[in-house]
Amino acid sequence: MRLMRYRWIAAVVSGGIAWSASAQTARSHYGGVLRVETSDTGDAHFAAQISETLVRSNRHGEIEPWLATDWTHDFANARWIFTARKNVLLQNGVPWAPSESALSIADSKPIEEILVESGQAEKSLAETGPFHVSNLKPGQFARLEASEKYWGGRPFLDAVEIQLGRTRRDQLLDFELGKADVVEAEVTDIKSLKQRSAVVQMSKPLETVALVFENAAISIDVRQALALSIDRATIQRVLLDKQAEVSAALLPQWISGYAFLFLTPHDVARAKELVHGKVNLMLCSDPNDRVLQPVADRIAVDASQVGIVVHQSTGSCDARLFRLPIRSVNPQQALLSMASALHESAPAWAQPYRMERELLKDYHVVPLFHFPLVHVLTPNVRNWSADWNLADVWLEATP
Amino acid sequence: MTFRTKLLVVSSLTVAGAVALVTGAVSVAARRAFERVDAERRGALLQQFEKQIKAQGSEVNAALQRAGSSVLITRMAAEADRPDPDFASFYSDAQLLAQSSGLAFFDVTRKDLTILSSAHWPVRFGYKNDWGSCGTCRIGQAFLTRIPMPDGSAAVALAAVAQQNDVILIGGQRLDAGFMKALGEAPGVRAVLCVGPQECFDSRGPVALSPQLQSLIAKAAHNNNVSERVGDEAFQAALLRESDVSLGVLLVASSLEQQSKLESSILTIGLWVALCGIVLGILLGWWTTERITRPVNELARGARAVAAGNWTAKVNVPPGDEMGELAVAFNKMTGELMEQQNRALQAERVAAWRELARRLAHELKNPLFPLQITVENMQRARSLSAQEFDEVFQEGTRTLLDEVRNFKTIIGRFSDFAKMPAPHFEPVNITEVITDVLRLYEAQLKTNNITLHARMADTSLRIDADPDQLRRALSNLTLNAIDAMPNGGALTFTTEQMENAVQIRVSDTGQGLTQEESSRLFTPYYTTKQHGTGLGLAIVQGVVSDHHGKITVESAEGKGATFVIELPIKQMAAAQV
Repeated sequence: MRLMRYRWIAAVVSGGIAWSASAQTARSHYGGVLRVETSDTGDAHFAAQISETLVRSNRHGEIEPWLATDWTHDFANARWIFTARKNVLLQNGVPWAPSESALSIADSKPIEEILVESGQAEKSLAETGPFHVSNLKPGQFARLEASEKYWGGRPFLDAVEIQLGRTRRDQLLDFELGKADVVEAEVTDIKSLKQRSAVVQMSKPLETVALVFENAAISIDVRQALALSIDRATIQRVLLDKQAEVSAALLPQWISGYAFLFLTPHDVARAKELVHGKVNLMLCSDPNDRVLQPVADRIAVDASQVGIVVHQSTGSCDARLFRLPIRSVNPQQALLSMASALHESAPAWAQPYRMERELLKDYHVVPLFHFPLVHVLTPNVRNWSADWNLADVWLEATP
Repeated sequence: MTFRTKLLVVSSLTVAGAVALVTGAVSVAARRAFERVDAERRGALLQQFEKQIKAQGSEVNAALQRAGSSVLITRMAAEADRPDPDFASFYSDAQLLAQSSGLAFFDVTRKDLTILSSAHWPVRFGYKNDWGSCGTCRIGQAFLTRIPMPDGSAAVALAAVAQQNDVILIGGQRLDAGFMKALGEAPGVRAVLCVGPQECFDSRGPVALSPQLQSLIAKAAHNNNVSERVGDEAFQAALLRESDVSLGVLLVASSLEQQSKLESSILTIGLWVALCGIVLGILLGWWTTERITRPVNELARGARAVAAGNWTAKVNVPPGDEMGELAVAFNKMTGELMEQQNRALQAERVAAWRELARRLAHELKNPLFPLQITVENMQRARSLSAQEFDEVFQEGTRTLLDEVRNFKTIIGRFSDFAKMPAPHFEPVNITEVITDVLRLYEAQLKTNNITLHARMADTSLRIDADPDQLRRALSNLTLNAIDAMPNGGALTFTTEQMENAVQIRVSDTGQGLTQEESSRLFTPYYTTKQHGTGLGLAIVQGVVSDHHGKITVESAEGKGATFVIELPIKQMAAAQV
């Protein structure tokens, strides 16, 4: 199964690599400042460019050594001993010298779980990344500058300026005005952007759109009825320009490999059986989200067919429609991250399918679609990837 | 209440009543006229509403016809035939068509009314249109309909249906504030359209209805058309229906402000007129009553003067009307009364003189007879011996002297009555005066076997009186009582204090008096006794009268008599009365 998944991953990522290969016809170039804009207000995108962990998952979801070069049991088989990478410097130029305890982990759980946990961003050990923060206005702006003595080699870019918390409409406007090199776009913008010959980079699905019930008083029958009433396929075809994947799983098929096991029936008759009398439900979604808003409207229309009257609200909510970013292509890491984002208790360590089943039981969370991350680039940006691996990005010199 | 007051009240009430009647009548007439005009104005606005519906319906139809010829519709018609049409390709086409045709609602559907594209609810594609009536069966006809909105509410709109190839175009214009504004309300008239329990608007926007108006709408839902006054407005509520479905209620209101102002003005004018009328009525009434009551007052004054004994009183009222005739009659009456009194007085004087002459003759005749006998005895005694003559002479002269004294006594009494002096008032203890009198006659009462009883109310009571005259009067009454009881009896003196007077009652148990005797008892020289002068009780009455009191007698034959004297305690107050 695992091999199957890796084949999937290889196939999925190959698209992006193919695009990169075509773009790398020119020779890599050092220097330049990359201007990036994002709607995110946190540091999740670029945290990995500053702080590093013992291990990390690569683009294929595999755990690979990072600050630790290898790991082995101690003589008593009681602890795992990680070997620290040499010649690693902190941002201030001081050699990284971790304590023994930081590199010694009790052998209390499977090594796979230990490695996944050790690769999570919050487990980062030290600011030893390829960039360091030179200016930060939380929620608004961050400037990262290249670390000259990074153990993996100096990044191509001199610096990266990141505008945080910009709406996607504003990002496109800034892009049109030449104020940004990389901006985010909606899946529904792809068609028109391509018509304008913009450089659009679309990742594999890395965002899950889900309906999350916040009011515990809503019965499981109503939750299930609402899930059954939603015609995902029509929404995907008409409202999402066929640019999203229909799914009832939290993780997309290309990451988990089992998403197809979560069925997406549109069964109005069954839903009607589950609803007794008229049910009113307050549904919240970001009113500024140009994609989710019509989706929420259509959900209301679909729900009305089975006797659930959905009122759009920005205040108290019975249910909320929102996007869940997939922070890792490692399934277990991603699920743990999603559980944290959903304020759900973390599922017990198991195979990803079991963990996801645990998270989706009782219809508290109803996944609907998987969105790709869409970025619009200026033609001189090279090696951009949706996981924000800024160390590999370089700017082609403009003539 | 005087005649004048009564007349003023009646005249004031008459004026006020008349003004109130006129004011009320004018108010009612004005109100009816206003109500008629208001009803016409409301009716005109209702007609204007219907005209506006027709006109806008034609506009919606025309807009649909124009939209039907667009390229978008042609493209959609081509796509609509496919079993699984690409809704995404015309997702926003209906919005573009709605904008270009100026319609608020625009759905493009297949023949089975499956929505291909919707302007006001784009995400409703694929579902059936439920507000376009029966679709093709009403092509070209405008109709009112209720359109469900994304937020769960419903809008009432004027809709129409058109067909272009294989697609149905259903468009509508919302009945909203803009529509109401287009009605062109006349001043003082407004229309409110309610399409839901809390969803009402007029030409200016949403309107919050009072509970009374909500009640009116509920009535209209049952009775189609209801009129009612709410606050300062008259409302007519008309139910909007389409194919037996209630779509809303149109309230047409006309302001009653002008009517209220007019009614207020009429009321104010009425009040002022009534006030002026009352004042005028009072003045006129005063003048009239002055003219009427002056002779009446003159007559009253004359009557009071006559009652006070002024028989010469005349009433000076100009002749010419009833009051003048009454005054003449009054003057004539007093004149005749005067003459009659003079005649009666003369007759009484004559009678008194006759009585006096008779009494004098009687009083003088009694001593004359012994005188005559004595003189004759003395003449006959001249023939007797000297000794016998001396004895007769001595006896005769003694008798003559006795009778002469008797004459003097009689003459003295008449003289005293004639010379009754004016009383000299001083505080007198009435109990002491009565005690003095009774002590004087104590022996005589015992001799006549008369028992004495005295019941004094307040032994310290003092009145203003002449003590000598009072003793004389009470002595006369005591002597009178002794004379009335020759065979003994009981004499009772009683005093009782009244409000401003003292009452003295002197009762005997004698033979009593007849009614005729009682009426003449105080006439001078009248007596029921064989040897009385008839002046005793006249003197008593004179004393009592001089003391501003009064004396009466209570008697029945065989049951004794009681003389009741009332004397004022203070003479000043009595004199004024």
